[in-house]
Amino acid sequence: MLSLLRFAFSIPLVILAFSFQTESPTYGDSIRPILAKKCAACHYEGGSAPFPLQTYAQTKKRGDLVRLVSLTGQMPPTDATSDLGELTPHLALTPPELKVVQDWYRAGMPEGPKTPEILADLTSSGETTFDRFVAVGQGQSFPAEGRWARAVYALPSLGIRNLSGFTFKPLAPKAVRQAALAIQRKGEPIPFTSTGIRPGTLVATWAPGYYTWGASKACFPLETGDKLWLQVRAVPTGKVELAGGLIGFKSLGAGNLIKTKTLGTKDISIPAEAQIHLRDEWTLEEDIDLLSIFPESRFTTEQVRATAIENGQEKLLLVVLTWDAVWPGAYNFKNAVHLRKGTKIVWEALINNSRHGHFADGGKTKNVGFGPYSDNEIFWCHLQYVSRKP
Amino acid sequence: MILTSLLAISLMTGQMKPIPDKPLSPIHLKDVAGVSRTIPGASVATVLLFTATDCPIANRMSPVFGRIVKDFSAKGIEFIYVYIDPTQTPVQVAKHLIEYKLGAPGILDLKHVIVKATGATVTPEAVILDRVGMMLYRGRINDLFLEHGRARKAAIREDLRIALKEILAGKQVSVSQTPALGCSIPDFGL
Ligand code: HEC
Repeated sequence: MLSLLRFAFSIPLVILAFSFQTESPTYGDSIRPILAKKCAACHYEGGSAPFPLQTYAQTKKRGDLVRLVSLTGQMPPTDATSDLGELTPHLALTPPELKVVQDWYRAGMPEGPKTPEILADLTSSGETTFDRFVAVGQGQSFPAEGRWARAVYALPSLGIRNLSGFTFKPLAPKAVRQAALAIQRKGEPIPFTSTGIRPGTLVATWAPGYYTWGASKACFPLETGDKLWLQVRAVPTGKVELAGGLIGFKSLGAGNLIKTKTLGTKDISIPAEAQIHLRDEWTLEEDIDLLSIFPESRFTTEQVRATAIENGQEKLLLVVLTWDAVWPGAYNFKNAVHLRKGTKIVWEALINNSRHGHFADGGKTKNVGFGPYSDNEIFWCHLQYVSRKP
Repeated sequence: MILTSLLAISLMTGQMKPIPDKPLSPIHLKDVAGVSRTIPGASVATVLLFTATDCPIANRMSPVFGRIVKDFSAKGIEFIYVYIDPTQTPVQVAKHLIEYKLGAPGILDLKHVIVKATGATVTPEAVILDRVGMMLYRGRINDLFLEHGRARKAAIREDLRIALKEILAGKQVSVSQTPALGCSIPDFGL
């Protein structure tokens, strides 16, 4: 049953069995380049990951885990793939890369040529390009244990007309997994519900290791009286962590206006032990440039996928094969993706509410519906785009 | 298909070694505060808690460690944290003990004397020794983690607590060995 439901995303696993290599790969020649490309956005001193993977010694020390998490697809945690654009600098490992990791481990993790320390990949920090930083959440903290924590802050008025870039520097980089900015227009309710982001209110997002929001010349218009709210999500690390951090902003004089569209529904009901497939779609009424995709899903979700169907032709916009609810990342495309009028965007989630589900406890499961608690589920996907003159 | 078989291999090599049937010879080491410690100590049981400052799974277990230490120190059981990474410094360890509110002394096992004598393989892992050095328990703290990256909402079996209660009640430890899951302890060429 499950195999029928799984997105038939064709990783050519056979390559593993058919490519021969005479010499075993070394750290310097084969492993270091993979780490530099796919792990350095987080595994550096002071990064979001718990330890650095910047030198041979640091990597060898964790050799068996590096191998395990690569093979299981657990790392990089944001293992999304798209046929239409670059989403993050650290995509899933390719089959040949997996084979290299495996061969290197089996060969006893040889060092090979001496190489310099891998430099931190600061893709998601936006350090140099932001004009303004504002501090939030000072003096507050996240608890040491639990499943995840959430803090919501009302921001002071920034006096910005057109917001064009956003980044977040958490005080506790190892705990914080997401920051989302949403807007409250005059007379409207707070944009964050206990469940997630109220549809139509998302402004910008940040997550460790992802491209920063604001790569294109588009902006989000703010009017006097609009209020911005920030939601920060964190995982427990075992000690009390400081909440809050610095929000970085960029603004533009003028630019294409960013619009948002939420796919999905609140009307979900997942029977105990069931494995089901949720689907929603949206047909474009104009040409658009797609900037980002922000899935909101919880613990029974195993995989999510967005496809663009134009004239019967299907293209993969985004697939996350090992969805991890504590990595609620927003996928910002490095370059906007042009989609034509009439294209159908389909948003799907594979839900596994069986005792074998990824986040199940191994015991009997219960019926799951939409709701605010961590054992409820969500089926939302927020898209951000700009209209494009045909 | 191939992925699953690779995993199966890695799980098989993780089989448990039997716990030693002879007492460990006493180990004398200084903790990071400079105090001399003897393992096993003079109390009814000495618990060694294997950890590392940068293992996320061990770190997430810290609040559990803290509570167990508090509850059972009061009943006369001795606790020592064993830091397994010789590339770290006593200062780092001392800071870690405070930050994570661990509540017991810590030894930096520079030469893996304790690791080798006890056969600990991962962090977090616990070993219980009686007064004469017989091993009463070796394994996980509880079953919070099902596998890497997959934790239960809450632990179902509190293995270390159960073993300690049994010892205090003068009973034999019912499950003296459990598989520990976490960051494997590398040999660091030692
Ligand atoms: C987007 C950030 C990010 C990227 C990219 C990333 N990691 Fe991680 N990694 C983390 C975080 C955060 C953790 C801690 C996980 C936790 O708390 O459960 C982690 C944990 C790990 C662990 C320990 C696993 C465990 O179960 O304790 C290993 C090993 C690892 N990463 C290896 C890698 C490798 C190899 C790569 C590249 C192929 C990589 N990571 C890419 C953020 C990242």
